Amino acid sequence: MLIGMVRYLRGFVTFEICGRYPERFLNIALRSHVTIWGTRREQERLFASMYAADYRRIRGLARRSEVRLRIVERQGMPVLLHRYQSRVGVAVGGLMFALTVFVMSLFLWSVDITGLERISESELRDALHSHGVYVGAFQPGLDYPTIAREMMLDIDEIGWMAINVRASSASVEVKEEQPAPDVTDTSVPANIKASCDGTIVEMRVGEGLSYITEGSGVVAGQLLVGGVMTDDLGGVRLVRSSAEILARTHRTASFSLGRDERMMLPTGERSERLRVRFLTLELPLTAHGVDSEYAVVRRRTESPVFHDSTMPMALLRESVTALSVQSVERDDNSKKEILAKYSDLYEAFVLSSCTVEKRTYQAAADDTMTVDYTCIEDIAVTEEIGTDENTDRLPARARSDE
Amino acid sequence: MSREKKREKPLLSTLSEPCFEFTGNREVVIEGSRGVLGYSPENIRVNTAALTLSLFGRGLNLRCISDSALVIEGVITSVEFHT
Repeated sequence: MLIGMVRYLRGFVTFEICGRYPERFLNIALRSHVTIWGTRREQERLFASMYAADYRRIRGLARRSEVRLRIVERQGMPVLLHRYQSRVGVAVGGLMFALTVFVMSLFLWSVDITGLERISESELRDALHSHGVYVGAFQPGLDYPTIAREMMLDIDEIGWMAINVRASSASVEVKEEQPAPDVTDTSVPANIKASCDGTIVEMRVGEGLSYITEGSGVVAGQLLVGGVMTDDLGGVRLVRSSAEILARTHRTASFSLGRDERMMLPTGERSERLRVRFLTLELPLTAHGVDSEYAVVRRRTESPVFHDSTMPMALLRESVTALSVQSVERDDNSKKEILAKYSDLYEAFVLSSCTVEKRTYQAAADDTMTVDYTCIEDIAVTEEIGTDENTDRLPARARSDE
Repeated sequence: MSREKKREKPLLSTLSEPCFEFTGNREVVIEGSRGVLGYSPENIRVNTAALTLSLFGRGLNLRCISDSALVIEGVITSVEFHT
């Protein structure tokens, strides 16, 4: 294999030896330190091969040994170069192609991310970009194991991460950190108190001494279930109270609209423009824009995929919509609708743990609406009892008494 | 012999006697050859300094020839040494 490669690079000729004593020619050639190979005899004709440079040197010797030489075939790199010396463009093109392939292999063509659940992909891509991993990054300067370790330290939500690179495609595998479960220390004694005012509707006490009954009215901070248990002999035992106390509570919320409501609204003017991206270089194909101070741009990226590999170029389609700041005039019905939506949002986010029984709407003249909510909710709040072991958690009143 | 000349020669060629290395009856490497006296697919005669080696067989070919060694391949049926 290696010898064959050397022969190809140096160039060689296969020739026919015609004459009465071809052996004589062989011996003369050998004494001139010429290497001959592939010798074969076909009837009266003898064929052999030698380096092209040796062949030029040996022609004079052939005449001395009374044989005639005839070239059957020329092979090798010098022959190829000689054949295409008038076509320099072909050689330059081949060289440029090889150079382009080599240079392009030094850059990252695509970055794929898998395993994301809670972390957003754009957030992770930004973090990768800040560590030098992005489409078009120069690969030899990247230390992927170190980058993965630094990323795990920077982003707490990442439990494990690996960056696998195959040729010019990086595949980022992420396993997100599982949050530790909230473990309650059941050995610490605790009372249950009311989180807000209300009327007890239903109570399910698991542990502890109940101080209220269904139908009782309670105020915020009132002791509902005590963790101090006294037995018949007068002994005291501390327990961690557990109970679900459902109470009817009342909440009031006010929603209002601004007097001078200004919003950014589309003017109707739109424009589409195209850009082409090659690695990190972006070039505009069309330069349309909108004549407006504000605009929103939606960008869609289309990258060609060849044999499951994303190519390093992309077509970017940008849709530009002009915006302007406008004062909004609303009629009464529209205002009511918006205030009702505010109320719905309040219930969805603030009262998400409650069951709303009743709503009472009171509209005022100055674009304000007040809503009274009657809810059923769990008002039990666990509050640990201070003991000798955890004196720092003693109630303020008990500590002042000491 | 100068040092350069010695370096050009293969190690076995420095011996006074020629060296023959057979691989079964399909190939023979001859070190210390002085030339080919006859060449046909049935018979190849090789001159070494001390003797003449005659190989008989079928489809004999000179695979490679250099100034001091040669490789013959083919089916070798008999070997004769002429002193």
